[in-house]
Amino acid sequence: MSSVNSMENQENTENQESQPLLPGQGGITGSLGQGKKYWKSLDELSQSSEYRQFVEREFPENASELLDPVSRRSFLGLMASSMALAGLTGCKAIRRPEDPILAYNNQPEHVLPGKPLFFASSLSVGPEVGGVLAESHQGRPTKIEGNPQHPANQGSAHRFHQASILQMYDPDRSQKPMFNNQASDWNSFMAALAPVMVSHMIGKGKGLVFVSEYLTSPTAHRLKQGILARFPEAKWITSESIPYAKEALGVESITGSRSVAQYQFQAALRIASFDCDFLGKEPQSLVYTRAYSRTRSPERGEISRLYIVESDHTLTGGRADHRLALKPSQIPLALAALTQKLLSTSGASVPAALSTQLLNALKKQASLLPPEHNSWIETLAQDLLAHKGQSVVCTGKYQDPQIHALGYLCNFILLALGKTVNYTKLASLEFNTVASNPFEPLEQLYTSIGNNQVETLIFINTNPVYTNPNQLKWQETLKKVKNTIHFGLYADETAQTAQWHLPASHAFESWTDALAYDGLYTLGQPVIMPLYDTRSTLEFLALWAGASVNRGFDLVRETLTLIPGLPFSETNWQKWIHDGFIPNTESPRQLLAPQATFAQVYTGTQAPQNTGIEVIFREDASVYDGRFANISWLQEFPDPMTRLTWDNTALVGPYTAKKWGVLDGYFLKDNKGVPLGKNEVPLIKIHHENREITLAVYVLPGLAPDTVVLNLGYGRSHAGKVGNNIGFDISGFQKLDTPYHLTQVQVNPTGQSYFIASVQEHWSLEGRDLARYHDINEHPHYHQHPKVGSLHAEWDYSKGMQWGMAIDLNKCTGCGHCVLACQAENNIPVVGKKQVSLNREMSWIRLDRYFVGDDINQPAVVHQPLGCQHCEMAPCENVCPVAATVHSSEGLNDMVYNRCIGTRYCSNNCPYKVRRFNFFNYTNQYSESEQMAQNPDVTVRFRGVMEKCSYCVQRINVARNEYKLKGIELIPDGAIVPACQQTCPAEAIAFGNINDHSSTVAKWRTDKRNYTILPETNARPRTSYLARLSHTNPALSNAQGTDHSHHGKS
Amino acid sequence: MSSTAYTEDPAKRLPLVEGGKSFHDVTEIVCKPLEQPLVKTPSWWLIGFMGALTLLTMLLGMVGYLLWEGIGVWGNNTPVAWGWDIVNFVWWIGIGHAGTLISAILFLFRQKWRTGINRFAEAMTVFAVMCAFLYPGIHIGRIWVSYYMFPIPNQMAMWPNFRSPLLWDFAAVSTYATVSALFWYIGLVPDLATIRDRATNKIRATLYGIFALGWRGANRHWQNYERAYLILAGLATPLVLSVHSIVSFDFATANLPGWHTTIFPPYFVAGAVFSGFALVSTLMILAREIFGFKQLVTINHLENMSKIMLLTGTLVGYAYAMEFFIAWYSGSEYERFAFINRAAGPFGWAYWIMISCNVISPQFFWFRNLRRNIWVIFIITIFINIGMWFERFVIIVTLHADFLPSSWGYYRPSIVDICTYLGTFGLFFTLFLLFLRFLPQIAISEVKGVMPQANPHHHGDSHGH
Repeated sequence: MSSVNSMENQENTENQESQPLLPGQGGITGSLGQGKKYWKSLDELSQSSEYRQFVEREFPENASELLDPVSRRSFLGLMASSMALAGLTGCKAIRRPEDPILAYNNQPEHVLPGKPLFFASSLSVGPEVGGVLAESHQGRPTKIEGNPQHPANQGSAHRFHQASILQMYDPDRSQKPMFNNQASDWNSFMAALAPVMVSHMIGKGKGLVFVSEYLTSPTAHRLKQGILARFPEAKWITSESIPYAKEALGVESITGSRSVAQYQFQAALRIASFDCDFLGKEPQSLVYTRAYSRTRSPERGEISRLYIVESDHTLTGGRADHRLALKPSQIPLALAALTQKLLSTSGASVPAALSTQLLNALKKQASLLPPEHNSWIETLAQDLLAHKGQSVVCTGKYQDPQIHALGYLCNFILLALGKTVNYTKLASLEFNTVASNPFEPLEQLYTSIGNNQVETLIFINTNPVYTNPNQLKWQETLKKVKNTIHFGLYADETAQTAQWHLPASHAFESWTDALAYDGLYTLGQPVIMPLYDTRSTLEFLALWAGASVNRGFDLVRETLTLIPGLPFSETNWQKWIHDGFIPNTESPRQLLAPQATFAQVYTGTQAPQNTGIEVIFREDASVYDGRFANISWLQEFPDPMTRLTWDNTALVGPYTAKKWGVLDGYFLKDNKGVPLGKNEVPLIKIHHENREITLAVYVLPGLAPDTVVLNLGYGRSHAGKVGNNIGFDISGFQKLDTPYHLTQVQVNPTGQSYFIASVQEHWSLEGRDLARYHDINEHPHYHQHPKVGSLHAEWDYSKGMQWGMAIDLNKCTGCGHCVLACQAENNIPVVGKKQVSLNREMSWIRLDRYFVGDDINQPAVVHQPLGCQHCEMAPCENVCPVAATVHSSEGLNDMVYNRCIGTRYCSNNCPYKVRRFNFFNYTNQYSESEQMAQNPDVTVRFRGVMEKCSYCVQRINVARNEYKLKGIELIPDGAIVPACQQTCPAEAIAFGNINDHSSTVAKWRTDKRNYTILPETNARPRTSYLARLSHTNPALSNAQGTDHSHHGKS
Repeated sequence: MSSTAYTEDPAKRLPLVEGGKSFHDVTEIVCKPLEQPLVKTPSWWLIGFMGALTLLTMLLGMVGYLLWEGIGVWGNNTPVAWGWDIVNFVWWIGIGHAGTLISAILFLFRQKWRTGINRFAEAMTVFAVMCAFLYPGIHIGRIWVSYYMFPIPNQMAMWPNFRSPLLWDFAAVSTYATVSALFWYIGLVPDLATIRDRATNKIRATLYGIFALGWRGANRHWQNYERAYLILAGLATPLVLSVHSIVSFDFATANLPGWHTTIFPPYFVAGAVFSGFALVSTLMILAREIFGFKQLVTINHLENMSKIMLLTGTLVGYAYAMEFFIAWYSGSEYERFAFINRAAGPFGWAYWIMISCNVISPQFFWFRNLRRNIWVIFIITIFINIGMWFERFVIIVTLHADFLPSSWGYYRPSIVDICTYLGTFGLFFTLFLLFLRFLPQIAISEVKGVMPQANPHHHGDSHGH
């Protein structure tokens, strides 16, 4: 294998500065040496008229549009204002909020006004458990951070974690029990429950069925056991709409152990992903992002190389060095082809009984793969084999168990086990129904209801009436059940059909525990008393289990005392609660060996030819399966790839859209061929068998041909004020037996259009040198712009503490958790779909996404997070007539809200367009509870003022005070962490004193990849970027010629 | 061009007043419309005034709505943070340019033909500047703290930022407004006295008398008047150049592609004169038809104005071409893109409207018979006004695509933008119609001064008094 390696190196040297290198990127050409244009190939690309038209598909129309009336304001208000204006007493129009400030009478212990406390807690989303810290101001939690000690978070918080604080304060959460949609109370419920319970106890639980969310809590499991002991014939069903058991079942089929992979990317040099979006939607994405990003650091030696085969265009696909876009039905074939190649290498330690039989089946599967992909798979196999023990194959959670089995087998052959991947039990899996298809258990329940075998049905934190493919059927069916009880956060679609709806406490209002994905015993403590008349899930279960204690706190402690070998003591309990988890409780790693019986089990996919147009269903990046639909932060979070807010659409590649006739030339068009505008997309009808759905199409470059990606979680009818009727409900279009994949669908454009709000319409870098990108084997010399003077006197920034930020594009995956962290930290308002469509989104971090490359069907992707650049010669500052934006002596571009009169000149003059204007009073609509989520350290902005990233100046000030009190003049590196850096799982952001040469940021600034955006404007930004690196396989580039990117066009 | 217009002897020049009018005839012609009794106000005036008032009311409503809700009721957004507000501001300021040019510069250059149109042009200037001034006042996010812009002592011990072009702009426009208003008023004083003297009732005599400042036509009055007029003309002359130069600094000192260019000051001044003359011509053509001023405002006047429009229009056209050349010559990819995008981008339609109206349409004035044709002049001036509006629009929407493609956006005015703009016409025409009804539209004393009878060395064939 070493021969391959050396050959590769040789080729690298030869190709340096002459060969295009990246898939679809073209790379940096020989003109580099002349120091003229780094981005020649991109430039050429942007001049190709086809591509130009495509990227400029926006704005063909010029008709003016009537602004929607801000209907909530009254006409009277308008008239009053006009009169006031006429009388020159315009002050009447100013509505400054007035509120009393109340002081403590009795100061609680540890609580110092102005000083937040942090409490460890936990949150579960499906099978994934996060360890978080809740920042609490005088008993009022305001922000969620990742628990730095918890291995699932390592200080980062997922955007779902960040946003859950807003969910807790959501005024649309149910606040009291409901009976037949009428307000009721817990006492009435208990009274009604007693006879039901008694009759079930007599009947040993016959006809009693519990349908719960995926349980991660050992205490919930213990209570469930108690319930099943009390009602022996009762049934317990797990209802999730996102698959959670396919991998474990797959690994079980080949090893006999129901285990899941824990990838150890930090040890991997070659990574092959088969539809595994480990940087985005897979469990443990935070852990994987950190590990993966660390392997991309050139300082650590050879950086890793990522291959991906996928149909969707995911964040992981965006980071890949080689990406093969295949139709969903071809992904198993590609993995079969790879497995076949690996298995047939000499030295594979697979039992002969397995390998000989399996090879035949694999060969048959591989032969179905279009032959043009063979060389790609071959090169991948070679590269993986050349790095045995340092390579890993990942398989995605939507793939069938057999795929995961093959993935395991590849890892086994590659000697990856114990090195780049560990297989461990997913401990929480035994708490739940294990089914490859998560809808299957519910389907059995459906049959039992039909046979009148169900008398009482209890839904716990689950919403099958919305998430189940047979929504209508369920609504009807539930009426046949005598007693239906729904317990959950919201009076959702299921609650509407149930007789009783009981409000659940939010995770941050309840005691709980959970087993993390790696089995770590995690504890969750409440950070606030329940805001409403709610019960926690554990308390509700205790009610049914007839437990001796009924407080969540006691229930969790009791579980711990029952675990054999756990050193439970008051001291340990205090420590565990403080830390948020119990150390050393992870599931043990297993060195699993493949079993020969798998050869009989493996069937491969059936008849994958003539699959026509295929559809895949995926969870949404913003609302998951719809459970976060009422969180405005997430609704307005732009999807990292499509940059769409407030919607889900049918995503298709340009190739496919063109074929369907919704993309004419390069404009989306209606049925008369009239190009649609920037905020309009065509509506299409998709038919499959007897089902059909009408929804909007959005074009995402890079999607596999003839593939439609549908994101779940939208179109909810009872999500709450924010989430109702946003986007399209596609659950009903799923098919029960193959819920995430459909083949041979028919698509018909309807000729109608649909209104969308995207925060970035322009896809191309226009050949501009903004997000730099080069291959590891290239050594571009970035042109240093000569330092030009200024007409104005210059400040001496060489002294004292000077704040600066550096962002490593090579580490950034574009996940967007920073965007949510910034929103929560800085009280950034949400403006709604209409305002977003008018380009008035308020997010301080714009996570720019550019497509680069010379084939719009196979582009590479660059993400670039962009906040205020804190320019030393800030163009915004000298144009402000009132000096409302000024420079601090520490190099911050400060925004003085009180001084701002709102001329918006600063925004015009900002070359980066990172300033955000309060066009309306966006914050005066907050409910009382939402107001509690505001960070007291940051001003809530009034309408008419400009705002922008402040480098989290409030955190700088806290640190400054702290160190001043300690008598330390220079704040040490790492003492100030802005919210974005704090939550970045990729460790892509460094912040600190650039005058301190030992600081991380100062070191990054001396890196040869370091550059600033638009140096020619002489703005001298304090935020600099480190160019992104790719690590392409020269063998693959050569084999495919210069145009490397036509794989997906089959 | 007739060479006779340039001989020294006024008797041999083309007469500035036609039809052999006497001094008295001039007074009669000018005073006739404003001396009609109120009950005999012509119906066209009443209808026009009601229309203008309606628009003015709409303006008040729109401004009230804006102040109540915030800037969001307009179409402004993040790449295009200035929209119709600044487009209309610059457009109105440009309109307001002709008055001072005619009054001051042409006065200093002894262009006597100016006397027929200066009053009219000055009135238009003052009203247009008022319309323009509205916009910077209301377009800011927090109007209730707009006094932060003024260099007044305050408890914060804060000066405004003197580096900001907006501050210069504010100073320039307010100076211009003040001097224009003064200039107009000073010029009015002798004529107001004439009306006072002709008044048939006491109220009229008193009202006009107050504003006539006790003018008796004494030698000393005339001497002071001439001196004051000359001084104001001297003061106003640099302002003609400065005000639009400084307005152009709002763009030129920004660092944006398409804005950051040294050609802006002269190009803006030329454009302003261009649009100002166009609107004066438009309104003048209407007024001389309605009020029968054809012998005071002759076709020669209009021809002269057409020549200036031809000159300034061509200058503007040169500036457009030079911008493109410099964008290419600069080698800056952003500049190049900004200009190509102007002509071929999503707002290309606006660019080509601008070019057609501003560069192509005035070229018809090369032909003498066209520039002496009332209809041709009228239509072309309308085109010029449209074109100059689009020029400002084109400049401002250059914002929609600057450096970072990710931040690019589009701009659409909202209905409030449109109604506010229409409303400013209400303001303009309300004032203008009041002017037409109650003030002398033509400077009586000045016109008399350029008539042959006023020449003391006159021995010619005219039968003056």
